[in-house]
Amino acid sequence: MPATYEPIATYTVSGSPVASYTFSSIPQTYTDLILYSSVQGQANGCAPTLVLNNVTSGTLYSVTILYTDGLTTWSGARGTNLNNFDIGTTSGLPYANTNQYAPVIAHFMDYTNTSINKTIFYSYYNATGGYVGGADISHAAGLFRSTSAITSITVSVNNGKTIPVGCTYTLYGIKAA
Amino acid sequence: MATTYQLIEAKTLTSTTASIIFSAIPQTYTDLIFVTSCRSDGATQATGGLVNFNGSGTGFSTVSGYGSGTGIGYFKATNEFGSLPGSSPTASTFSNSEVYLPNYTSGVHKHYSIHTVTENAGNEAYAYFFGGRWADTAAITSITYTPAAGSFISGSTFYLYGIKNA
Repeated sequence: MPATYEPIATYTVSGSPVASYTFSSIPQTYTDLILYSSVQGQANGCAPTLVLNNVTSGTLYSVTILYTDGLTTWSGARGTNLNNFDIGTTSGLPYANTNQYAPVIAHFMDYTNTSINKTIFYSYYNATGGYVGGADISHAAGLFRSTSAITSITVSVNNGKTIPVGCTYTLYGIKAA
Repeated sequence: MATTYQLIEAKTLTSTTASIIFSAIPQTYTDLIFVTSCRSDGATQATGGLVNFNGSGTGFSTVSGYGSGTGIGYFKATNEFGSLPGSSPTASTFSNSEVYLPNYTSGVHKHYSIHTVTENAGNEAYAYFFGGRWADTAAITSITYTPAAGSFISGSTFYLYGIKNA
């Protein structure tokens, strides 16, 4: 059985914060994609966002989110007819200490299949140090109502913030055979 | 592009063991994945698994949410690194847990995500999500994992994988 799980591209924010970054020309030779990231927030809070194929109009995105800050019980949220995947809920990403980051993980299943709309799992895990010092686990299932193959993924953060220096993103491809 | 997701070390217990340690972790990967299927002999339905990095159990912050099939819960803790069944649930039933630990060699605080489930043919089983932070800038060179109650039983397995981003 041939090995799979290959790094496609990696990006680290350097020099100065950026508004976004795009993984473009994604090879269409895998079955699934996984985007592993270490992301930091900014003062007054922000959460990670995604755009696929540079599509930011037409309200093609929706998300269903399960989240907790560890101090209150699980809550749910639903976003429909959106122009990106935005799973921000309570405290968002950590920023209280410049050494703090949070894992952000997105799974894109069957991303080359042109017969189906695209679904993703999208999560972040902040243990502490987000907005008002809080923690935040946010798990989401997302739908992109387009049958186009995914050829680009744009990462960003919400709340008008930028991605700080030091944040890292790596895209991996997985083959089913 | 070279494939990644390589097994660093595997441990399968053949006797009751108080704790396990992965030491001398190679510093040549980008991220680590720690996968366990284990059980404790502690007299309880489920107990936490506790971690030390580089021999230290301090400086940890953890947030968790969970469901039990009959209820939900949430808590903040310190060095909880997953959950595992104790001696009370259905026999021969172990946990399923995966920890993703990115940038473990970097000079920033270490952060990780955990998905863990226990199972039970009875009424009490758990599915947890954890987010964790170790407020230490040292590279992680060892991981010690210990049940909060009892000891790991024979048949428990632990796998450490390395992922390179290039």
